[in-house]
Amino acid sequence: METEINKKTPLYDEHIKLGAKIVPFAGFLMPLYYKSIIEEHLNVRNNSGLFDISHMGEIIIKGKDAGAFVDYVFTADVSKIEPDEIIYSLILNEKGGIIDDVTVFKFSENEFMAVVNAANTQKDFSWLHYQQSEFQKKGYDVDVSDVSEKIGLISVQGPKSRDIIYPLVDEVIKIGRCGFFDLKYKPKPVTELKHFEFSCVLFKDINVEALISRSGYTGEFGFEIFAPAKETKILWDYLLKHGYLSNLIPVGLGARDTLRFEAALPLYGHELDETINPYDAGLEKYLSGTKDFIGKAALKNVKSKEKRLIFFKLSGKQIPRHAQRILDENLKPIGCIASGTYSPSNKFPIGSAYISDTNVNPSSLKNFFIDIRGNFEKAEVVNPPFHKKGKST
Amino acid sequence: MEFPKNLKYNTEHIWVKVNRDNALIGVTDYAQDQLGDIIYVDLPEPGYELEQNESFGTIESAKSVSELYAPVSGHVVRVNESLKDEPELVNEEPYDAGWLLEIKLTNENDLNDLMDNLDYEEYLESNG
Repeated sequence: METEINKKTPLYDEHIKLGAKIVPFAGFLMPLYYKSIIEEHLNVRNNSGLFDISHMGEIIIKGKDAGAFVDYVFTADVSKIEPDEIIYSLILNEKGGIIDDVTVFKFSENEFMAVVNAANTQKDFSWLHYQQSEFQKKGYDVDVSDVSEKIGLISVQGPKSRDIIYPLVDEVIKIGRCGFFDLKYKPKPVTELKHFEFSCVLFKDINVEALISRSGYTGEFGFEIFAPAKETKILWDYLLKHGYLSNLIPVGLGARDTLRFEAALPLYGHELDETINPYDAGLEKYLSGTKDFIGKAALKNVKSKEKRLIFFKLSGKQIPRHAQRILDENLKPIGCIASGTYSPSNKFPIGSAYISDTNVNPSSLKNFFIDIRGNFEKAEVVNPPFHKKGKST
Repeated sequence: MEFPKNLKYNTEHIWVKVNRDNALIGVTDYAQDQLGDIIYVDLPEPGYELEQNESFGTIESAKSVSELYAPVSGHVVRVNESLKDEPELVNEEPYDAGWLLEIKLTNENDLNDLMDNLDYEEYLESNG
């Protein structure tokens, strides 16, 4: 991803104070880890972790015809969800290639928010803005705005997350504004939120009002908290100060990646890009059958999958990396690695790959190899995910 | 961060500890800190001929893989077998249990190309 500037999130100085190793990611200077990727990973699986994900983009779509607009630009049935629910969706181009994968929040019949990958914020906004102009030309009322810089996003993930969130928040029962956002309904108590629902809370002592959702990117129980950018630092410090409630430690992007991959959640730029369609990626369940959307017509011509995504583990210790080759038992190249990493929970290397040779049936693929810098490492197909969440849901 | 006095260092963050004709080789505290959690170390077998400044293996952390560059030429006599199961020893004790190879020096003059601990620290300050 070519990005010239290294932007900072509102929490950059906190990461430095905590001794984080900082790396450029999607145009931002982000913490890769504070102490150790493995330690941070396992702490999220066993206790809880605090993530700065303020680099992610937020795009607000509002207007009388916002419902019709979101149904056209997103593949899932977005307008039909309740106004305190979230839905996962794809944005496709006209050819059916994946522009981005996003979550969409419904604030009211007239207002939605898409949370998008940091690396794609600009691209998504330009695309949605263009679609907005096309809609406006036809007389529709819709307005798309990029509010990413006004919002700080903090994620608390792990089975013990509720032990820190519940005691620190007061319910907000008024109808109307929630920090930065405009909600047109009475928010639910945070303790009653189910997965992919959101509400509004007031953090005690610091008096910060924030949108809170039961969501995440780790395969664990957890919350994502959208606060005004200026108040993000106070909230971060407040949560860290009360870290003892849930053994909460700060977690960097390194563990965010190993956690999401063990849960087999796709990452844009690895499992997804504009050359991959939703069928290739196994995401066809996020395509609505009942409405039209951009890319739908092109997908009708996709007869069989051109590529197939598989997940695998290695018996050796070397870690597969993005774009390395997959070889069959006769060492003939049949595909390419999408993601590869070390699984801290399983203590072996794992990966995903696109098999592009249509003569190969992934389910009958037995012996195959990964070309890791000239070493042919033996791999075995695995049914994802690599990690299943415990009793907490 | 520590850089022991009795070691020699190259610019690729490898240390050498000379003991008569033989030498131990490992990565510095700085290198392990930069790499983060080490998951795998790919090393040559005994008998391999190390050539000064040439790559002799790779070291892999959760996030990246780096080449290891030989500080001196030599003949590998022993490989740290513990690293196969406990690569984290490189993080925990980079100068001790986390050593990589023992070699027999083939050209003692190679040692003159290396830095002492003070030069290495200065090098890190100006390049780190």
